Amino acid sequence: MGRADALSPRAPVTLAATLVTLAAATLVMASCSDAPARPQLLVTVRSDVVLPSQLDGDPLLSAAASIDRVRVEVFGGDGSPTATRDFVVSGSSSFPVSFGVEAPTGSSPLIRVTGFRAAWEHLGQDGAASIEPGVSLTRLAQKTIVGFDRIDVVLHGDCFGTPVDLTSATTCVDAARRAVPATTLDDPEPTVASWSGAREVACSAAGPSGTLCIPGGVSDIGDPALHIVDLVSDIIPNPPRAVLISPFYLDETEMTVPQLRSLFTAGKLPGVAPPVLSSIDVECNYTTTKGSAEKQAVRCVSYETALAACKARGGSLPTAAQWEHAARGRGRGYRYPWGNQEPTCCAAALASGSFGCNPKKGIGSYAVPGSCNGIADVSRDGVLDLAGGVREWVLDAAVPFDACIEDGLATDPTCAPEDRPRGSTKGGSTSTPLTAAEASLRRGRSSAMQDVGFRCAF
Amino acid sequence: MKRRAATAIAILSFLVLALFAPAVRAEGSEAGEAFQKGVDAVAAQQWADALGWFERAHAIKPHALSLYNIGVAELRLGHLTRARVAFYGSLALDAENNHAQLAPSLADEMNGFIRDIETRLVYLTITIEPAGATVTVDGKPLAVDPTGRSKLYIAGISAAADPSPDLPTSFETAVDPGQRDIVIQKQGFAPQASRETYPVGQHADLHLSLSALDATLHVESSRGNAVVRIEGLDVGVVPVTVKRPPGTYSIDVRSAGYTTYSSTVTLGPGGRSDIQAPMVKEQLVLTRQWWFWAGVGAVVLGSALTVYAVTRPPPPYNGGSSGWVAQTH
Repeated sequence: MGRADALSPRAPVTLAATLVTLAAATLVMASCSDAPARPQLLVTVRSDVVLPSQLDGDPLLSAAASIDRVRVEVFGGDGSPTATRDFVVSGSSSFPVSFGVEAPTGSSPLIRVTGFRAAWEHLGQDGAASIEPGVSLTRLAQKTIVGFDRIDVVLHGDCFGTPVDLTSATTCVDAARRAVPATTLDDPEPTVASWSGAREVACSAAGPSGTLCIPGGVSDIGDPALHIVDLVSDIIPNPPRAVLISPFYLDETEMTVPQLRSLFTAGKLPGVAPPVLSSIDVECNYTTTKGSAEKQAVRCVSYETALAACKARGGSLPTAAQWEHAARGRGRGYRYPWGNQEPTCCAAALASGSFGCNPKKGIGSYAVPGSCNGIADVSRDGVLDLAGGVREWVLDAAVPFDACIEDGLATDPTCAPEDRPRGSTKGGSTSTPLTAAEASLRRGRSSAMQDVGFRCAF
Repeated sequence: MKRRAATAIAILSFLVLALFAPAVRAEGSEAGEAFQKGVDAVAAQQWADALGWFERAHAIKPHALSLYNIGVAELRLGHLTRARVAFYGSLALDAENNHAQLAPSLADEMNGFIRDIETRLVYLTITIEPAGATVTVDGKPLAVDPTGRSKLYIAGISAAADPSPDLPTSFETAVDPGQRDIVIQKQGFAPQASRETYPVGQHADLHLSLSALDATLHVESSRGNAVVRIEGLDVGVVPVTVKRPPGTYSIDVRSAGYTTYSSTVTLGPGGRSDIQAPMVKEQLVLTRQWWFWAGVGAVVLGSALTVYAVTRPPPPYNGGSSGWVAQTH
């Protein structure tokens, strides 16, 4: 009795807890002592492109060189997908991302990893989410599993837009290896934003008078809505694709009547036909002597005359890709030169007459944003009247890029098949509706119509 | 041949204008003055100016001859549909005035012009999809034939701001020959444009269809780092704006320690829906107390360890930073 009284009321509980703890510890040690590793892959996805969190801190990085999603698809032995998962990658806390692949020893699962921006994902009519292939980074990886194994899968910026081949299991790895077996190993641990195309490239020398430097870099051109367009319209299909543009100089304004006249007067355009006045195209404004349109962009210019004028100045017409690079904020994907705000009558020289606006025709008339809800027809680099004024000739023929430019990241692309006349037009004009100001639109080769002019690139 | 006919019409029109000008001048000084300026403009081949003066004269004092001259000016400017309406209007006004305003020979000439115009017009059988869309030609809506002489929809005679008539899904329209910009639009659909050059007197079919615009869904939350999922797919951290085709979507907004906000939204073509997801901290319930789970954990751990020790399951797969393990079978 006295012995029992000597024990504390908690003693049995303490004793039992101690015994349970010792038993549990013994079980844990026993269970953990020889746990065999299970056969699997541990896959780490890395990249040298840009993450969204880096864009705010470094204005020289291009948004078009960034990804904010990683989609992983694992294919079984019969080639059908067995698992899919999307990962949001916003910054260093969520990237690199790693995951496991469970597979028996001796098997070789095929893994497709796609880096993309959510803005380029859209749901098709069947409800399935699809990614624009021309602006995404896709990589195949494959390795035979022997116990527990690790691999790195690197998404190199050089592979933007380059498709993989699931049938032959070939993939783009980097610029030098665009179609190699998926079993190719990557260089380990690249640094994000270290890709050479991620950062804008400044102009190396001074440009001609009246021009502005358009720094180079990667840019997404095109629009998903332009995969298929009305067959009876002259709008050219232009599905999204990433392109790499070298720095160049672009005229700040569209070429004016006196600027073109001075080239003719100086004899720099021998054999070239000047624009003519027309009773049908009443907006034609070129005169051989000083007239009433001295501050206006010259109209009714043929492609041949425009190209000859630019060459006489030591330059050329811009390519469609250069034009869109300049007009869409150099990789920022703007819909219009000023950003994404929808155009109105006060934003640019557009939509005259029955379209409801009364545009001013002088160059640079829409350069002040304060009078139009903060928007003006001025690009990120200060180029004027890209949205309105006159439609502007570009070098490319009136055919989709797919007609002559291979998939993948093209540098300074221009599409001009030998069997098609060169020339197409970009930008809206006083004769087009407001919606034609969208910078991704490109229209067919027009004759020297009353709303067609040009500017030069150098 | 047709160009020669048009030239003949223009010359004849000029002679007729000169012949009948005094008759109108006598009817009122202001109208007459406008009419005379119109005649002067015709002499100078300034057809657009002439049209303005004749329209003004007609507005001040309606007269069949002014309408006739309006028709001639429209014809010279290449506005065949407008000229046709003016000529029919001139004949009707003359008839209302007991044929006292036009010489019979002039009325006969005018009927000839109308027949010529109706031969030169372009007739398009337009099929539109979906129903309810509006069609404009060169920025102006179509109009029911105001002369009442056909079931055609006429292009070029309405002002840009005029309302569009209710169009059937297939109808015939008359437009001027030459380059025409035909645009079909409907709220919530991407407008489609057709630019074609139609030769004189062409009959053609034109199918215009619209595709629905993607709708915009914007999701915000009272908590900054909440993750938004649409139809089970992560789309980003709030605030997030996505484009989706019209339809009904389930939306989840999640943030650790907060009750998941779930909702369903139906997006119409080209529409926009803004969702403000209120994030409410999870209530402190029994299952959220550390001591409860500590006790449960102790029991579960003991049980699990015991079971584990007995059954010796293989170790789990390594899911890396994401914790996800893909199955290959």
